[in-house]
Amino acid sequence: MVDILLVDDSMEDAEMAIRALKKSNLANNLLHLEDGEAALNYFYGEDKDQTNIPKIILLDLKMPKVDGIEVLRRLKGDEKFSRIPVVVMTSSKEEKDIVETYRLGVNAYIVKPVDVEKFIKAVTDVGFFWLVMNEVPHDMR
Amino acid sequence: MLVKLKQKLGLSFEFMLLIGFLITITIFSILSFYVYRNNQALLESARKVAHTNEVLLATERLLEDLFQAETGQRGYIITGDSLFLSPYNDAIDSVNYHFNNLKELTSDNPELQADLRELGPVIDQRLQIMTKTLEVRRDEGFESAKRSLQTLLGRTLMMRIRQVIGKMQAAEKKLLTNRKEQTERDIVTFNVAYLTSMSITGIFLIGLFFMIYNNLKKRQVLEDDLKRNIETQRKLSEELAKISNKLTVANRSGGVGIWEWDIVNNILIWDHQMYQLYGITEDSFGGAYESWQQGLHPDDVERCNIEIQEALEGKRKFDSEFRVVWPDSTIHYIKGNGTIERDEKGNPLFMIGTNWDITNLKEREHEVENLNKELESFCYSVSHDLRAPLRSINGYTSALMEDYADKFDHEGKRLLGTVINSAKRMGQLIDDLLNFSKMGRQPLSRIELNMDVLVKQIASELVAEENGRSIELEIKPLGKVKADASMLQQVWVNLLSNALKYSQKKEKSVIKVGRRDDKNKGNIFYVSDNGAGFDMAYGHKLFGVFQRLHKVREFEGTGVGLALAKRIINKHDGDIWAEAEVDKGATFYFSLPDV
Repeated sequence: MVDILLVDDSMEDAEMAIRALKKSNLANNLLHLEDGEAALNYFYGEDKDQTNIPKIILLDLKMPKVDGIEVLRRLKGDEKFSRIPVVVMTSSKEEKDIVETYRLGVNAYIVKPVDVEKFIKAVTDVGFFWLVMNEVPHDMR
Repeated sequence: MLVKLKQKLGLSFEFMLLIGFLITITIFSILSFYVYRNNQALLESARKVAHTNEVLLATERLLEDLFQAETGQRGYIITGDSLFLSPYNDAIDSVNYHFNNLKELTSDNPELQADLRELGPVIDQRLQIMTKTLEVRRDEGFESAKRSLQTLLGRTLMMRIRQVIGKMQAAEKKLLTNRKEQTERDIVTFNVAYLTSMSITGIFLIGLFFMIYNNLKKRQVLEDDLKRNIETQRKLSEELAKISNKLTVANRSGGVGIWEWDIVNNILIWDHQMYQLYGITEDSFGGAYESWQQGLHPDDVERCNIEIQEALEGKRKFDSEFRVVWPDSTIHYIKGNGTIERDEKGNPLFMIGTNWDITNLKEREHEVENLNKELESFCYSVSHDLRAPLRSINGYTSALMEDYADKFDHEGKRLLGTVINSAKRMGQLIDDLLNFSKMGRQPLSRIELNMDVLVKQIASELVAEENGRSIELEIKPLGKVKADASMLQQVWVNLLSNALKYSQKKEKSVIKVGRRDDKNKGNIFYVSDNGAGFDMAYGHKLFGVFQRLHKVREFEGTGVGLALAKRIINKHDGDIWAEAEVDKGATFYFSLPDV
């Protein structure tokens, strides 16, 4: 059972995010994958578990091998996974990234601030919104 | 006189000259004829005077002969010596001769002829009496002769002869006098006529002279003018040739080709340089609009056609860039422009313009583009990679403070707080720097901007963040400008937040915003505050990146805000400057020239 799938190559950032979510009791069913390739393997690999679809994906953009954009493109282009909410979290404020991710159908976009309080608040807000507040379509439960 | 007449009648100089000379020549001809006639008359008159004198002389001789005959006769009668008969005989011969001579001389004068006819018999009678007396002396001696002499008949006859001849001489003398008088009168008349005509001719000639003189003078002036004109023309031609040469050199060195399109007949004429720009020879050029099209890159043909069409319709000027494909398949970038000549109705007749090669320029542009892309990716990695460790420093320090709060004393917590603040500050610096570099690359998109609405919105948002401060904000009408909305927003945010920031230590902040128009700089906007101000001696550092005039401890900030504002205003071709006094406040101005 995976509620939140966190894809981030930065262990520190991931730890911060997990810490923030834990504080709000949202990190109980959280899986952390360290790069885009691992993320794609999770959905398309040999040991994939189609029954265990996450309720939300927190996706970093800049990652080695397969980057977040590529993961986003694959998932949003695939009917099976296109309805999973994806929240992109990135250090980049580059407009082309923002434009490109929205074009691909991202559900939210968070710029990771240096100020950790803001980051915690943003991650917590996102977690609450998608896991608690949002009515997920029935077939995805 | 002649000149006036000429002006009055509007006759040409040549015609007047001809008329003048014809009149003069006519007068001279008449005068010559008259002089000839007069001379003839004078000659005739002189001949007649001579004739008269001859007649007079002949009468004198006749009379002399008769006296000589009488003298000879008397001598013989007295002496009887025949020696005296010789002059007598000579005289008798001479009488006949002179009488006949006289008869001939007076043949044209009937009066004198009549006198001669009377005289002839008297002379004969007298001579007969003489001959008879001489015969009496020779035959009967002296006494008989003396008696016959005493009859006085000879003496009477002689008197008669003298009478007639005297009458003849008087008539002839009178004739002579008359003739002389006539001649004198003729001479006077001739002189008057001659002098008069000469004077008239003289006046005519003087007139003609002045006419010719004036004309020559005018011609001289015209000739001088003409010479000067020719000289000026020559200089202009030289100048023109020089300029033309320079232009040719400039065109050649600048690689500018000139083309001319006769739109009505669709004839396209290129200069030498054009062929080089299109990499073809003159022989392979068709000389029509389509010939130009053939040289274009296929992807540019349609756009160029539209641009030409729009230029012909007068919608916009033809000023374009397009690619040309040379026969060797290399691609060259050409910049072309042209102007259209139209008839009175506005129909296009000719199009004339230039082409030049901008391939190098385009290559540079591509280089700059590539450099910009490199810079962008550099900035991307800076924003991503530099911020990540900062986030960790901040995050882990925060975690330390939270999870081990009971293990740190007051000083330990203060130190950890400093680490967090420094990390935050560095994050802010990186963000500002990225923003600053992004602004430089961002192209302007000007729209009509309502400054009043913009400034009021920004100001109210900024003031709302300043809880518990006493702020007096005065915004005068700002009107509208054509500018980039997001950039101008940035400028106002920076200037207004500065004004709020630097006046925060005053009991009451007084911030004024307004606009004034300037002839040279266009529209000038200002933001003034009553805050800390600054020393004008360091004013030049104000707009440099990371340049600050206050310590971070006094006022927070990274020193990028004003540099960013300056960058934006300069992009709008405007200026930004400030006036300030320490502790009295500062006023920031920026100008936006009309577009």
